[in-house]
Amino acid sequence: MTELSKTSFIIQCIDKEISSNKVHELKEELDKDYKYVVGIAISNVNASENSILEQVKIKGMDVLPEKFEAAHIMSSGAVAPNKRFFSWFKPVPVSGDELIIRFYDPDWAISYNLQVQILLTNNLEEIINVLFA
Amino acid sequence: MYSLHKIYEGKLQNQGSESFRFTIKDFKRVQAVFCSGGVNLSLAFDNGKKVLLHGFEFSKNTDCPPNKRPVIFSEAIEMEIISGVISGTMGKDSSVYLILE
Repeated sequence: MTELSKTSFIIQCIDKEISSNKVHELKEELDKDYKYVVGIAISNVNASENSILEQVKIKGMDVLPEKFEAAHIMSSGAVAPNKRFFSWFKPVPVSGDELIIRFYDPDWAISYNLQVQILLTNNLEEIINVLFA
Repeated sequence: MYSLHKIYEGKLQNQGSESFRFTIKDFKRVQAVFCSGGVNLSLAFDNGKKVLLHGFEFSKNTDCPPNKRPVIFSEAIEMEIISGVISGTMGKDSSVYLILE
């Protein structure tokens, strides 16, 4: 049986109700027990494929380029849950820092719940091998 | 370790086709490229002498894992001009990204 104390990664989920076609800001303190952000994903159940991540910032630094198309980090149900993360960015060292995401859906028509999933780890080498396998 | 850089962003004018040029400092290798879905991309290295992609179509495929969507290669660079052409529906907002090492 896996001991929780030895778990080397965690998926932190951040939810926000998207109630208009304006920019919505998601703010969340990252789990302080994990040292690196290595992946990001968005549930594509509700958001339109033209949605934009205006900013994704940790400690004031951009994790993804500004105005990044959300479609790049959205996956259908056909993709295995552990393969839904986008990891083509420099791993971000964190220590309970605040994550700020500014999200915009130009095709918004009805209120929905947006879920952003953040993959954190303590073991960089191990998880990178898994993500790109 | 990888670093993600947007090298083109804009609306496709000129009958749905735009060209771009870019010089990269501080990185030695380009590992992959990807762009907005539903557009075609041409990409050349070594000041236009080496064509890597010629009208390659990037589809909107969410059935493929995000880490597998970029076109992966490994091209050494040294203060050279990377150029390209992106084409698609006129007026469409499009972006091109390079993954550098």
